[in-house]
Amino acid sequence: MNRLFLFAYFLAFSLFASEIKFVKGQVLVNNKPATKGSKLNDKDVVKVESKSLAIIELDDKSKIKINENTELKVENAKKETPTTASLISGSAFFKIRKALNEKLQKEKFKVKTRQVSLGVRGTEFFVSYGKNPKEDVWMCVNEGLVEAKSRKTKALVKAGEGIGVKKDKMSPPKPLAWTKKLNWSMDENSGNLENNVSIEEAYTDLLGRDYD
Amino acid sequence: MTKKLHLLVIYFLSEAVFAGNIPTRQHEKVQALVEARTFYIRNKTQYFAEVKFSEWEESQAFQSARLGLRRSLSRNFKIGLFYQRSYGLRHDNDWIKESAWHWLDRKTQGQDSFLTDFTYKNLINDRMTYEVRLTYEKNFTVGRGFIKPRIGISYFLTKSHFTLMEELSIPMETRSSAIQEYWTYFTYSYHYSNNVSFGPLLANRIVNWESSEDFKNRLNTTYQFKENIWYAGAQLVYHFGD
Repeated sequence: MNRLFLFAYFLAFSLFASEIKFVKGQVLVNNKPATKGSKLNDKDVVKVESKSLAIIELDDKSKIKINENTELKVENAKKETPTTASLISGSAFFKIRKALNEKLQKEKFKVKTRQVSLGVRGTEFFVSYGKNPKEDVWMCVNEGLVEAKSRKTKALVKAGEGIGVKKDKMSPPKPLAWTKKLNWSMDENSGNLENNVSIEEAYTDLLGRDYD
Repeated sequence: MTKKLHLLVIYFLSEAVFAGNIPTRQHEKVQALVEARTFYIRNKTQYFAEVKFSEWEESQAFQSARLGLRRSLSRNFKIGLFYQRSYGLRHDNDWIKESAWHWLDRKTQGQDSFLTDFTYKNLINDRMTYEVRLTYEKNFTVGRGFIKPRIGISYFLTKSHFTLMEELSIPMETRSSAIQEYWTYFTYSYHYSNNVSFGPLLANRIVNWESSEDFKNRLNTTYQFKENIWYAGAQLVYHFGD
């Protein structure tokens, strides 16, 4: 009886088996300090402080690189339903593995922000709140395809393209020069994980602005 | 002897007639120049206001204020419409004789102009842009029109940019020198914030002066000379809106 209970207990945990694979600086889970190897439960909130970085790995080996000054909640990682990451503030890189199950191929992972919801089918992409977090959010795709939905519009964003969303207005997907310099590395052994591109650069469209 | 004396008298008399009749180059030092602009950006339109002023004590000082807008037709093309009020702008026909030959004082006389421009801008790479602009200016006060082609190149760093521009001023009327002015601008702008940028500027202006109508009518001859003026100063730009 005890063995059956333990088996069920571990089975329940294995339904959401995320783990922190890399920590630099100060990383909190539910406001408590976390370290490399810390396990994450469903709906845990990960907070990465200034000059810090964290990489979490989901049970299917998908990874999320969480940048400094970022808060993120990952929930509902059952294999039968899409995992949802709610980006509360800041920015993060996502590397989502393709679903082995064909039924889940359509939408395996979702990222939610205040302005837009992103449906992901096995891809690598970056999401960041802008200078006015209540209004702006940016997203760009490095690999795969992302379906972005705001309250008024939706768009399919391909690799090499990005969008900006301000209030409910979504820009059409197009290459964004500033995203070429993003650091997509998720290899915690590489020693080169930090992203040095400021979101300020997203606002500099070299052709759009005149100075005289 | 008498014949030689007559020739000498004629020579010195003609020198006396023309001495002081032809304008001379007046600019030996670098002049100060300040420019301030603001852009209010709303959707695809930039509403624009600008003031410029050069060192006012100099005889060829100028001041101008410009209002208008520039509209994006596409990511690369823009069209602009402006009104400008200027003081101190000098023209060929401003060399006149009253008690003596002198330049008409344009500092107290405002001049009104209408301008329209068409700009093409594109990326050279993710750090550099080039721009071609064609401006038509109609100065209603003196009744002159100008075509002003301009090319420019800019290099952007993370929080600043450099720009080099060359602009020609080609009067619509017939002249010996088709190009009346050449302007070369070099600026450095520091992007203090998303709204504010400022920095130094260096400009060179070459003016091809030609005889005024008054001079031609009175003395039945012509003159031409080139004036080279350097400016050093600062520019301030403020962007707001979208």
